Amino acid sequence: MEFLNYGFMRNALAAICIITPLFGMLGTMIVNNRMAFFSDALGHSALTGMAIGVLLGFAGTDIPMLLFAIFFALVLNHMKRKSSASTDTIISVFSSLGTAVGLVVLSRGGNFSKYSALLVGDILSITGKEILCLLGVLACMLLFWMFCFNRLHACSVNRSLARSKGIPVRLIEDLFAVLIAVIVMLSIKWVGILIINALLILPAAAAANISSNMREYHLFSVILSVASGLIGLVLSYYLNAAAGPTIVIVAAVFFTATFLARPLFRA
Amino acid sequence: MKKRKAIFMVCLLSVAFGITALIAGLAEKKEKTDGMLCVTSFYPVYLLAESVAEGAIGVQVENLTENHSGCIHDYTLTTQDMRLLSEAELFLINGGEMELFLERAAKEYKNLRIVDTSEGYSFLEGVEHNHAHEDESEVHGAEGRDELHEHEDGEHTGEGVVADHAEEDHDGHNHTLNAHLWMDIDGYLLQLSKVEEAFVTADSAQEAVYRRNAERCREELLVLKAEYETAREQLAGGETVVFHEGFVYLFRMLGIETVHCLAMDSDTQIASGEAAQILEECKLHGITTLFAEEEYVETVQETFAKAIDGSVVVLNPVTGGTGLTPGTAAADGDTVPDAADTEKKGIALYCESMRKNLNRIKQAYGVQ
Repeated sequence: MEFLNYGFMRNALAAICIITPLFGMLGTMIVNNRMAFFSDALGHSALTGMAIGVLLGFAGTDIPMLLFAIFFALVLNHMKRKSSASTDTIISVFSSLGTAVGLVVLSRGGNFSKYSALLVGDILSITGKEILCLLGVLACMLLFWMFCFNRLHACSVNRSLARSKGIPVRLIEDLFAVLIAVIVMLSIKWVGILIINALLILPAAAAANISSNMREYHLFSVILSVASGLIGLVLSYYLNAAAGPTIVIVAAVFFTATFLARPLFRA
Repeated sequence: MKKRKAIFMVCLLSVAFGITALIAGLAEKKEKTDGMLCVTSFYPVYLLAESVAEGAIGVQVENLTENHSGCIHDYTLTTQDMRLLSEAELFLINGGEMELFLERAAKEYKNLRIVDTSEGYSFLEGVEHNHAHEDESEVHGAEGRDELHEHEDGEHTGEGVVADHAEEDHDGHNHTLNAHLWMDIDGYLLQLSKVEEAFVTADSAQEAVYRRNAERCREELLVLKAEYETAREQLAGGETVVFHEGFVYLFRMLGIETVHCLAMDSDTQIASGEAAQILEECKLHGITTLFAEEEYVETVQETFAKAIDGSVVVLNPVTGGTGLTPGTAAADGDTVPDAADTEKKGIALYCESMRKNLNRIKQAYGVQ
């Protein structure tokens, strides 16, 4: 436990303890609602959000990133409902556009290196205040999960049936999109654009391999997500590797193990 | 079934945590350093600190970005770096917005004494600013910024705009600084003084050692500066196009005007508009010799030198090692670093690299 002697590791550990259960829970809902690509596109939109912040001369780019991601998520949802094109095509168009606009603005004059840290993230430099902010997000996530999960699940199973049961489908879907946008944007600096989606999806996908009901699915996803985070962080410390990618590798190992173990749990 | 799943999860997690504990146990435990640990952020500052602290008892100098060659704008701290910083007493940085990775880390280590070795230096502005705001000179004309050169054709506002260190962001714009002050010998002399004072303040018991070492370094740098001043008499008035921001300072010392500077960056493609602009400027000013660091010499050769039927000369930005490897170094007639060069350290290594740069520039301009 030598690593706990260092303040940056204690902070990173606290952040991991908040982010990973958050991602574990959110991941199950994302996978259920077939929105894996959606959250990936949101992550890429961070570049455009940052570019808008730079263009408007904001001192920090967090607020423009957050506001743009919410706008992006709602527009994406709207386009999905209205357009006749398939969802993955719409998301792909938005994702590419978000990345391209961000790259064009941020790489002006060959200075993209200033922003490239966003690609891989840096959980080691998280501060106490930011951990508290993440704690607030976790609380919001729990509230949404408690009050809206069943409705969201109903929407994901059959939208017409959900509507006939009096569930405000559009509102629930938009609320969920905004929630994903907020969580992705608030954690992207620590996790990185390139791997945030892997952290969201891998634990849920690993849990899906061995779960036979919703309760197991959520429980396993959260357990595997937290374990990936803790093991990845400790390994990155001793192996002197970047923390985010190490966590993703551990999560991928868990996915492989559960995938191979699937036959054991067939009824 | 439930029991089977529980057993599987327990086994999976036990194996995973067990392997982690094993790796943690096997990992080499870092020995705590006795005495004072001084960490530098970047190679040129490390060379200074190494020379100034030479012979001081109980002082260890470590470079944070040891394995990183090139500038450190895009450097991300590793856990090893954070450990090193948490044990350090003194942290010497280059400043001028070079250490972007530091902003957040600095908040974490409130007890760490961070010394900005470029404090008080009038940086040139970075290339992004010049080309993004073509009319900036009009906006800031009366705000104490010096135009080092003006062109009759008015096509570029110049890489030589001096940015006051204390004035950055005064108008809400994101001004980038050209942080490569070590390529200006006067800038490096300033950094030397800052490093000297930092050591004296942190460890006053060995003040005499630091003062003596710093004086020796100062003498070496002044000799080098004199060589550049002599060369300036022959070279002044020339024009050039460079592909590293640090070279702007280098050519300014020699009285050679940098018509255009393109900061090459492995993350970014060259914008076609800017490439065309560079070629136009080369033709307009009759420039056929381009200067680039070794890493980008092929790109510059293929994209620019071929188009103007010119050549590329490799210069060393002194951002890590000697910057010369066999092959490319020999291409422009210079010698590959010999064993004696690689044994050199500190200021001697810096002076050696800068002398080679001077020789190459003189050769390029046909001056003896």
